[in-house]
This record gives sequence, structure tokens and C-alpha cells, in this order.
Amino acid sequence: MWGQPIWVNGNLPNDQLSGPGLELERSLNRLTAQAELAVQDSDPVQYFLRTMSSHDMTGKNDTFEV
Amino acid sequence: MRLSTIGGETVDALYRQGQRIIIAFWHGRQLMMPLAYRGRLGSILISQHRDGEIIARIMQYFGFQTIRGSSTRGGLRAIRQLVKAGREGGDLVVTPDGPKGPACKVQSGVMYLAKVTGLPIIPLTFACSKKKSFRVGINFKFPIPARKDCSCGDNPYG
Repeated sequence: MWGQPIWVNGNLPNDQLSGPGLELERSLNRLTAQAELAVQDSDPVQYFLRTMSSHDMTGKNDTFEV
Repeated sequence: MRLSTIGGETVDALYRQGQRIIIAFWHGRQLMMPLAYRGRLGSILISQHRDGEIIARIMQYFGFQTIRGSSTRGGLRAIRQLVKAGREGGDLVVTPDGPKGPACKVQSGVMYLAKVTGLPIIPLTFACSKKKSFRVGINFKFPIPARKDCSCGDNPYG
């Protein structure tokens, strides 16, 4: 899963590099969480376990591909 | 193993404009990089630790140039080599949290690299529905070829 480009201004002082650094950190963490969720949803066993543990089946699709 | 890619069109658009990039992903996912890489020439930063030697050989097998070093050993020389590789028209591949961690915390090296080379940093991540994790520096992940994956695929340059 690819994220959006982060550009760092060549004139930015070294002591201010933490700003774009935090942006990269947040982006990587968000993408990783999304990717983990995406593969969980594609795994029928994981999907079944998550669905069963949610206690609320209302409106949820209870069929899955095996 | 089924692979799928999300967001690859952003990178393809940059490549079509002739733009080179810095690819950044969290440590422990290097072995999935050959599956995801969409460019032609990539230089990847790998630590000088003996575990890094195994990873470096695998990356070289898949056509990556390897630059050895990390924040704890050979870092300055590695940064210089990366800057040179970036200016010569290649992509740079780095793990912004490095082998020693702290895990998932960006260190300043990659930001400095982006500032000096003028290349954009593209965040990249991978996930596998089934994987084997083993200890090389920070937890290292390797996909087991039986389940679905979420990464990579169609290389626009073949």
C-alpha cells in the first residue's frame, strides 16, 4: 500500500526536519493499520472470528467466501 | 499467494514525469520490497550487521543496489552514497526507523536525505494475512506463500 508523496523543502533548517518527519510517521502508521485491516477482511477465518466477537450481527454480512 | 496493490498510481504518475523517489517503509519488511518495487533502479540501505548481509544478498539477487550502514555504524558514509545514488537518477529505499529502533519512529536521516536530494518521500507499507516473524534487529516479517497478501504487483516497467 503506497501513500502520498512528502516533499521536504531544501531550505528547511535541520532543526525543523521533525515536522515532515512526523508527517511521514503518521502516514506510515495509518497505511500500516489500513493494510492490516485489508488483509484481515480478505481472510475468511479472521473475518468470521471478528464478526463473531463483535456481538452485534445486525446489518452485517454473515456470509464469507471460503 | 495473491498480491494486491493499493495507491500504486501515485508512484506511477511520478515515474511518468521522470521523477525519482525515496521509498520509506518500517523496518522488518525489506524482503517484501522486490514484490512491491515499481521502478527501474533502486538503492536500498541495509545495516552492516551480519544479519544485514543475508538481506543484502537477497536484495542484490533481485536487482537492488545495496548501501551498507545505519545510524549506529557507517551511517555518514551510507548517507553520502545514498545522496550520490539519488543525484545519479536512482530511487532510494530506506527504513526510517532503522534496525535498532525505536520501532515505527522516524529518525532524522531520511528527512535529511529528502532535503539534500530534493526527492519526494513515498511511504510504503505491506501486510500479509499469514506471515512468519523472526528476530533480525526489530521483528522481521516474511510472507508465507499460501494466503492473501496486501502489497505490490504489476511493475509498469516490466
